[in-house]
Amino acid sequence: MHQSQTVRGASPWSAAWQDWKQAIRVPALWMNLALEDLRDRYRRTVLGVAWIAISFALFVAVKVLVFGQMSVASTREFAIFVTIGFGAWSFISSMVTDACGAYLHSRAWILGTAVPYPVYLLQAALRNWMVFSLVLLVMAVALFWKPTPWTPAAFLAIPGLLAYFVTSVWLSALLAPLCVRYHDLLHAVQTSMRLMFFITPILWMPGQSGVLAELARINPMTHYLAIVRDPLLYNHWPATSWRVVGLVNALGIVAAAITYASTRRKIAFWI
Amino acid sequence: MYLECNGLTVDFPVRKGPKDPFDFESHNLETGGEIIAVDGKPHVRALDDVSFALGAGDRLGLVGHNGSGKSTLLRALCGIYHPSRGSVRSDHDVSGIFNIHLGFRPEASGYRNILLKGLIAGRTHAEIAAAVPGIAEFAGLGPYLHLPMHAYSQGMAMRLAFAITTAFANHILVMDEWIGAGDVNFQDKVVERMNSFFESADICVIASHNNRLLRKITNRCLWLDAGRVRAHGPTEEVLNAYEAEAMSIKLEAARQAALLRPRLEIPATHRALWLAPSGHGGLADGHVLAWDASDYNVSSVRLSVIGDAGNEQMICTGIGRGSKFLGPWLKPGMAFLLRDNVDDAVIGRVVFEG
Repeated sequence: MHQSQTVRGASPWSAAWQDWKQAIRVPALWMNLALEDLRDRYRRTVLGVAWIAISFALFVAVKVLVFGQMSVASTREFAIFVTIGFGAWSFISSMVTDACGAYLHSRAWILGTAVPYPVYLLQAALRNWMVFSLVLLVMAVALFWKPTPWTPAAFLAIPGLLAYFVTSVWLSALLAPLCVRYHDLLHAVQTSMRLMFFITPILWMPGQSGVLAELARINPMTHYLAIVRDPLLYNHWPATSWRVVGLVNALGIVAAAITYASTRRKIAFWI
Repeated sequence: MYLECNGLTVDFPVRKGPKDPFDFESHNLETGGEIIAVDGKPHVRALDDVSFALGAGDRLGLVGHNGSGKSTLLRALCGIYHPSRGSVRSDHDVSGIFNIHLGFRPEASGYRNILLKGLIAGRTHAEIAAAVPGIAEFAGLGPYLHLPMHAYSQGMAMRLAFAITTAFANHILVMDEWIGAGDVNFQDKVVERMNSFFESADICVIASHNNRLLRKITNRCLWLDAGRVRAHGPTEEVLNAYEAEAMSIKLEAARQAALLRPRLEIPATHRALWLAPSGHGGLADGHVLAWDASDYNVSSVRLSVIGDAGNEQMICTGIGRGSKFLGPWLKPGMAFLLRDNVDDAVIGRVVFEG
């Protein structure tokens, strides 16, 4: 686990690669750490993690009730649109915020143990996936009222979730070190995520033309939602959205690799 | 088995907020390392060119005043801080205990913390389960292990931290100074566990302000001063030099005090030094040498005995008022002197009548 050799001049790339290899070899560690995070959040509650599913279901129900009145779409279509959109959104938004805090959250561990840093990044990602899996359960139940017939195209949502997984890992590796160095970034990201909620088609449908359609088209978040929502709701594969998500993931992985490798030696001093 | 440092230098970037007042021109050099510029940015040189090599069975004690770099060195040995220059090499993983608040989950139970620490050390679930009874026994926490760690007292958390770390240590162990702070019973257990740890020819580095503990468990010491190695060698040698300096700093303070408040004339009616028989209080039969000159602005004294050949031999040093138990070596006719450390003047004299 620990670095038994700290040799001056070792390439930051190979050292970073070693970190990730070591971290991936101890899944039990980051799984248990993520589980502890979740337990901390719901400790001494009667319902425990069931709160995640309950609060999500209530949120969606109220949103459908209120905003459904203003929508031209059928209630069933709007309900599924909001359930999937808001479910995916809540994962992405909490993942982005948690990615910023992945190192800061583990400050005591970073200063107290020589665990390779990817453990903390995977811990943050996994913690969000644990929450998301409960939200996915509610989404699966909601699909009982799916307005369109079931076709095999619905399975195309699964690669969408895989794309989410890739994003959750590089987001942590990119944002965690930057937020340790620049604390303002944490607040900037939190603020912009709150704004993003309104300019992303979650509570409103983009339509075919007009300002809203244009806003949705240039917003990468729209495409992230579409790769999961479109196969499930409309039984179709959103090719353009996939191209956008693929590009964002590719750029993200490169940026995250550079950021991780160039900051790993300095995190303990900055934090 | 080895652990070595070669020219280890660690520079901390000084994180200065846009509004933090920090004057680099008038820094206080009494604690902490030197402030230097690296790439035009201010850094504190926490460790400066530290080199040493430890082999199987070596127990190194780190001494030095607060901010001298002891904790930084321990963290660098563990791989938590990366060297700015130089290197740390070892052929085994280095385990460390720094602070009971670092590397534990306060909300989780003692058992869960044992599991997490075991996983960090690369143990399997089965190995961890096998180690649990031993840890529970050593820590002596019994049913408390089911409670969250934040419910533990400082001492209980310390016991658990120490028990876990030594149980999962991978041959090389580093420990920070708080380990010397437990109760007597715990310290005895620490010494015992450390000694059994050493019998397996492992390496240990321990930072402590408790010189008595260091004398018991270390064979070598390293004295750090502002991030630099001041002395390195056998424990007794280094600790004696370290204590002598602490003494001379105290003496200097006494000298400064004497400039402001010179010693008053001690009247003939005041007994500054006397001998009294002692047979109680758990001490063996003998005599106690007592002195009191504190009312006359004396703050640092030295006691000595005049030997058979007329030579003066120091017994101890102390403050203006105190006492010292004298062993069976006391013989009738021996003369004792009380001297003011500031100017060496004899301010008290007593002869043992028998």
